[in-house]
Amino acid sequence: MTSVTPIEKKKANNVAKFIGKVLGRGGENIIFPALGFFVVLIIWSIIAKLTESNLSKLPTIEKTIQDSIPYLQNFFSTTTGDEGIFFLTLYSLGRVAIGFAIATIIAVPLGFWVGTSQKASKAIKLANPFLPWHGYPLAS
Amino acid sequence: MIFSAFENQDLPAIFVIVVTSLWSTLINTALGVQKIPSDYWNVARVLKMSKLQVVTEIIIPSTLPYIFSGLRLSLGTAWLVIVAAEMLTGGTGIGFFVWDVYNTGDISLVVFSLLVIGLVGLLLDQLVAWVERLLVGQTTAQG
Repeated sequence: MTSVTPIEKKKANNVAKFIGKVLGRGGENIIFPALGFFVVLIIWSIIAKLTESNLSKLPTIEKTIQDSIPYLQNFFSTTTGDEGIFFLTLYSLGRVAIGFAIATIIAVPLGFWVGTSQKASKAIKLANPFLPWHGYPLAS
Repeated sequence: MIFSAFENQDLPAIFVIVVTSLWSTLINTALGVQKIPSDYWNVARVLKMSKLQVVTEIIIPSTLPYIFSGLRLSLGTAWLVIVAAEMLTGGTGIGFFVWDVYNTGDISLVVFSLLVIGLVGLLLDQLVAWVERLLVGQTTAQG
């Protein structure tokens, strides 16, 4: 009979608890998201089938995978003008990071002020339905 | 090199992100401040707290969950808007890629980049939720 120290037992218990937490009751945390994804794939393939004869057809799942394979192989490419998806996403993320940081630095102190002042909260009511594109300077 | 922002084409995109993602954080923070119990203000008055003390010891701790729900909404908006902004500014970025493959007629690649954008958005949301869990202790919204 192998002896199991209490500490080892506790460790094993913790690992089991963590796995159980990730999986959920009866693995529901894995099964149901997978099911949802599967349903989306089925709807996609049905619509692709229905619009097959149209001029603007939805690409089938197989065609999408086939077409994206070269881009996945080119994932980390750094060639100028032909960057891989990874670096394109990184460029976008860099812009989002800068813009989001500036917005947070402005918005949080302003929010404190607006929350404490009646007049300021009335003034911000005008900006509430501010539409995203109204202040957009189009770059040439 | 990658993060060499403030090039000509980056400025409008960053400006759009700032202008669009400002509001959810601002409104949520203001709501959080308004929801602070009046007892807290009375305590601040009794202890004769300075303005700075009121901010650091009352406002920030009690509005942090509201700020983070605002930040999650804001980051979602920012990631949504960058794709649209990059379609117009062009050059680099995932939004430009979508525009590029759309103009080439490869709708299958548009769907592919849709999946990439969705995955990155999911990761960003989880990142903010993780930071919130680190700072606040629990998340306000289910991720």
